[in-house]
Amino acid sequence: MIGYLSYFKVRLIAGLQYKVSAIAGLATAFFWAIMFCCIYGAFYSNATIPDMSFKAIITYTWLKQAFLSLTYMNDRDSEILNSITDGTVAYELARPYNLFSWWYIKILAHKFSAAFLKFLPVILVGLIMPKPYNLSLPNSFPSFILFVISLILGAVLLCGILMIIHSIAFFTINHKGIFSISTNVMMLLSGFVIPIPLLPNIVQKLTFYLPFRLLSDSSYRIYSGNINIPDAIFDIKLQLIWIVIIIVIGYLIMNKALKKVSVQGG
Amino acid sequence: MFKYIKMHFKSSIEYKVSFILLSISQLFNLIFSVVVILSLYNKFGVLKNINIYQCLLSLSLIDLGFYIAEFTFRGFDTFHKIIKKGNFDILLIRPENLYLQILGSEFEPTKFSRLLTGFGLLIYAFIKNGLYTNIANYFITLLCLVCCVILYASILIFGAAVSFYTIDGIEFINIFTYGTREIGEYPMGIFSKRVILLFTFFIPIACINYYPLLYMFNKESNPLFILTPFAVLIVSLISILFFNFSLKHYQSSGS
Repeated sequence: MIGYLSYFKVRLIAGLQYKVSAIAGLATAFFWAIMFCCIYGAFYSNATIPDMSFKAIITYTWLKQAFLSLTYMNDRDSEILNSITDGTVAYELARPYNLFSWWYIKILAHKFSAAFLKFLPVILVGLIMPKPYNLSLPNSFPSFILFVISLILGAVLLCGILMIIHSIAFFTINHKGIFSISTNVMMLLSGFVIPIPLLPNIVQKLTFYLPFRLLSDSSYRIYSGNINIPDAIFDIKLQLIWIVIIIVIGYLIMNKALKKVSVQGG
Repeated sequence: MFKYIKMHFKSSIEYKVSFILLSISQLFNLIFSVVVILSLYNKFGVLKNINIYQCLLSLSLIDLGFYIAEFTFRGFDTFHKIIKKGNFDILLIRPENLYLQILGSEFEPTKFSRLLTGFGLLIYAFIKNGLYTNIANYFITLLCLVCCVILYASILIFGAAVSFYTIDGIEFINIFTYGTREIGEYPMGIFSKRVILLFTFFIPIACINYYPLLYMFNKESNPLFILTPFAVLIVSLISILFFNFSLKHYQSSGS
């Protein structure tokens, strides 16, 4: 256990070294946030909808940019994928650690370190923006606490799903296509492309029990009070259930793959 | 030129399953744009008298123009890799046209699927808007499309020129390509005057998906509106001059 923890720490510190690329990403984050404020502003000036208030969607937009690296789905770890295709996975297997946990920790640490460098400046800029386009404060103190919990659980869940997609590379040499298709479908169902409340009602119902909505959409809406406290607690319970299911499935797939894996040469 | 394309195409269809899957995954880009627009129209209803088909027309114009530019000028998009590896010096000493070599250096046949669907959507929106009755509309649409390709190609060339100085690719240039494309997918008419002016004089996408469409939909009768797409030529002139200027001052990045 100590080994896993210290590996997490090592990866986290390694990830925090990429300061310049994080700063370079900030300009893009500001631009996208402001642009979506303009777009939603244009739509909301015409009509208001019961599903989501203008204030909630602007807050959603800023939070999404702030925690983009934490919740980004199309995030492939090329080290892991390459080690599977070129056979260096054999070295990894020689370690006295469980490979699933090892890689899981690697992806998780990468996500947290990338988000850690970026989220604060975006939040600060969001807070000082002129009135209708600013990031508003959390709806209430409990909803802020629930937001933090659900955001972290969302990242834990996302890394579990990413592990499943990464282990597909064991079964096929051409993982690029499958990887890209599955992450794209996830993006659409998770509110990444457009917030879930803006999707047609029937799609909202369909996505309700799926895990994708819980990756980030639910957290941002808890923050703004678009999801009230009882529903937020329900969402967090659902997140925990999905985390268990996804990690068990990922673990089984990986074990199955590792049983069949044969490494040639050395 | 065709030799390059044929070579890239052949090497990529060697892996058939991968080729098909990657081609499918490229389609999501357009699917996302259409889903977003349809959802917003579903929730908010018709905006400022711009119906869904007019919206799809401006969306498909910008997207298809972007796809064609990205498809053919991919070499400039990934130009910073050539510079970084020091491979640009090799291109310089070859007895071939430099621009042709950059264009041929990178080419993704899987992106062809986007072009087909983008083109399909453009035709669908064109017919649904009832624009096919007037022969002039064909020419205006074609002009807009060509100018859109020129605009995005110019931005890619500009980005390539910047990488002469930065060596590495910079994410910032994505704002001008992906960012302006994202905003261009929405009909310009829904935005405030200030936003429209910004996208008329800074990055002239309004000249492609707004002013000419106003004329086609009979909202404006001044024929000057048809000529607005030519504004992109200014952008392309600036970026080509900048690229050539940077090329002259390029001192090898070492290899």
